[in-house]
Amino acid sequence: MAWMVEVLGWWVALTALWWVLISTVQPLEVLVGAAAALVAALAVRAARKAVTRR
Amino acid sequence: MNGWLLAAAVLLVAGLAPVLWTMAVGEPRTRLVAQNLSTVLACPVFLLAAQGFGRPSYTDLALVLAMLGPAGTLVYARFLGVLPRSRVVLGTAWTVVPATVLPLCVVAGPGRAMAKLLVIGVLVVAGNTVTSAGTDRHG
Repeated sequence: MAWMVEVLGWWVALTALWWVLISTVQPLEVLVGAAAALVAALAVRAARKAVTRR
Repeated sequence: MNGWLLAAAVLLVAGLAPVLWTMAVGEPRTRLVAQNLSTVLACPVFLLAAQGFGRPSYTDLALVLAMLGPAGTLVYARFLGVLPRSRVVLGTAWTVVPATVLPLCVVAGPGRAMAKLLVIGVLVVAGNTVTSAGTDRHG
């Protein structure tokens, strides 16, 4: 279950970063950002595992 | 022409022009350092231009450059075989970038715009601290 905590942490951080970087905060933009951040968080977790396993 | 654009012009003429010349005619190791320095100088130019022209979208250019600049330097260093250590790049990153980002933050006022400027500043400084560290042990 540690991986879920890690993915959640990355998802929160990436969504916050997206929220800072967009020009106007609208519900659709936040939704798109959250979806993209979720995919990215999973990718980050996979990448970290790939690197540390070596 | 306001103060922001004047600062950007000074950075371009006094900073970027000599660096571009060095990129054209120097030794390979010097050219790599010059390429690195050019990205360090171009980011504040974009940020100042965003404020000077009143076009906030220019900060997105600085953001993209902050991420791609150091990565590009590392790609070229891979081709060259060595990443030269550079105090010039380190010094420029730690002086010019805060000197541009902090006044811009004051003008932007607290909010998301300021957070974005700080993110860009941190990315530029951190990325170029890494690329200026170098893999060789000779200055």
